[in-house]
Amino acid sequence: MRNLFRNVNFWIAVIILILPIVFPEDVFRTLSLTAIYAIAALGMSLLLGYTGQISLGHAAFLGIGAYTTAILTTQYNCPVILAFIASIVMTALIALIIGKPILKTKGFFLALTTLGFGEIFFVFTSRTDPVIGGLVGIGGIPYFTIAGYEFVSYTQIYYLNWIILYGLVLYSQSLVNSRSGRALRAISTDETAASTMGIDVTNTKLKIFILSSVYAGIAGSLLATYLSMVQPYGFRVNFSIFIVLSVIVGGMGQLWGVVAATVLLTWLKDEYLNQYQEYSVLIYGIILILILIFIPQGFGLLGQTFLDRFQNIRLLPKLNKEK
Amino acid sequence: MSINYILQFVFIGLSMGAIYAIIALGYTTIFRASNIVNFAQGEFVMLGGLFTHFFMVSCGFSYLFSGILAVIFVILVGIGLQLLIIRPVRKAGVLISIMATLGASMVISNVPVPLSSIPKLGYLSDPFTLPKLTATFEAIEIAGARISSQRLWVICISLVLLGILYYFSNYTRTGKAMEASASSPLAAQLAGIRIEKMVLYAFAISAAIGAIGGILITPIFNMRYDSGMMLGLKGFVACVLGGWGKTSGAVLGGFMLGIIESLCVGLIPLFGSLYQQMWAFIILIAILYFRPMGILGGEVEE
Repeated sequence: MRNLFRNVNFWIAVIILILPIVFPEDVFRTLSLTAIYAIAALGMSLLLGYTGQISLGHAAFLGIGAYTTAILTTQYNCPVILAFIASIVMTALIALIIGKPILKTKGFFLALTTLGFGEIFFVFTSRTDPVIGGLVGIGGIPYFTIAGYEFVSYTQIYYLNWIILYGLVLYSQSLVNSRSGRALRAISTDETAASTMGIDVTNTKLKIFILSSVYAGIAGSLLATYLSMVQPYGFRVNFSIFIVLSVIVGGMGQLWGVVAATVLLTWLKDEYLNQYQEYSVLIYGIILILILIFIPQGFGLLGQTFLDRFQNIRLLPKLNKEK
Repeated sequence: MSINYILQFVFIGLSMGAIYAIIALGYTTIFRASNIVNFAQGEFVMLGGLFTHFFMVSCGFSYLFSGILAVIFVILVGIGLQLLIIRPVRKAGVLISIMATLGASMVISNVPVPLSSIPKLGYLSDPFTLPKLTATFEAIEIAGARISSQRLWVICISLVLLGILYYFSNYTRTGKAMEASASSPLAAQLAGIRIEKMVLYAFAISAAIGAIGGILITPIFNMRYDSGMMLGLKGFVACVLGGWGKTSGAVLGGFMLGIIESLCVGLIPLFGSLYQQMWAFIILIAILYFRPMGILGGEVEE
């Protein structure tokens, strides 16, 4: 029992459960969305934070999930839960196909190639076509439904999304603390050394790429039911940047940190900056650059950065620099 | 399908390829001096066109003068980018520098949006075009295929520009010093090369050639404030196609990409033109799969 009270996961579960009692329903409009973004960011954290592989086309995987759900539910009257599963299968399949050639590259090249993949997705979805709907997108996607129970209010959607997110965090925690999790960190540190230790680098990278795409697919499917519409502009490079930024701000290899960063950044992007309308992307870009210049290691190490600068005191061991 | 028809698309491809080669050279110039890939490269091209358009419409300057002013302003943007953003994050690693240049690209391409709410500047967020360099003759005919005067100008000026840059980077002291500062920073410093200055030069040069490319391409290209990203990505594909980090590779890759893309659009019925923007990336994924080092590349770069 004492261990339970010391457990971070337990307290976060408590907070997630009691929040709707404390706050009015309005808050959960943004918080439901936050959970969706956080699921995508969590997948990115596994890929980028633990394995050190950059992807700037992650928004496209959300898009694949969202579009699969949208097309199946609106045009084939498929039950939402089946469309949800189909979205996951679809993203995994596409990640498998494109992951093989793309993951041969590293660093800058991987970043630009995945960015290119994101643009292909945008071009593909923005063409005029009765199934895909062109720039207008697809509307009228039904609410998420499990066995006849419909998630209609923001509080209901909040619980659904955060429970899925919570489950995925728990799964990710067990993954990164297992043998394969250590393999990921080994790859992130030194690929050659990792392969000498008997780790199948190519295969492991492909697996984690598929897993993180599946996270994005889950997020995309939830996003489609949450917004009840999908549009190609929603899944462009700006969104991919947002996901990567969440991981940077949250700290590499900090699963709950990434979730916290997503809460902060979603509020910043979707609530606070919206009042500036046409300036919002501009201000957002400037904030992005300032974060990168002043706190490139995320908020987790912000305190240490300050201490370094003023007193030369070292509390935490210095993180390995990204290669 | 006659030979004229194919030749027609080869000519169109050559002129687009010239621009891709210019953008690719921009990447190469910065990469050779600093080991950084500048994701905001395409924005220089867009800004070259946009600044010229702005000076002509709002200030009423002549085409030539506006063009020169535009190149100067884009060079200033390039220098600002290096001093304000790249320099502070350079030591922080690949991921941070990627995100920083992407952020810069986001900021640059979104400045025209709020500006367009000012009454007289409303045109800044619309698609824009520039007059052709020569209005006197429309097109010439080579072997039954027509090539417009502007496309001819694009090809000629780009070739001259590429020649100058090739000479500069391979045969002058500054050019060699720039390369030295990337391949071995410490040794370069010991030899008396000021690395930060070389990186600054590299940004200024690649901003300048990007701006000239932008002015040349705007009359025949559907330019808008957000076109930079796509152009930049295609320039990158050209770099990889030709062989990363090599001046000759960038030029060859640029022209090849232009021609392949144009032929895909022209010769593949229905799908070809529908997915015009996609071919470059399909080519990219194919190269990475079969020959990651590119056509002229020796070994796989990291």
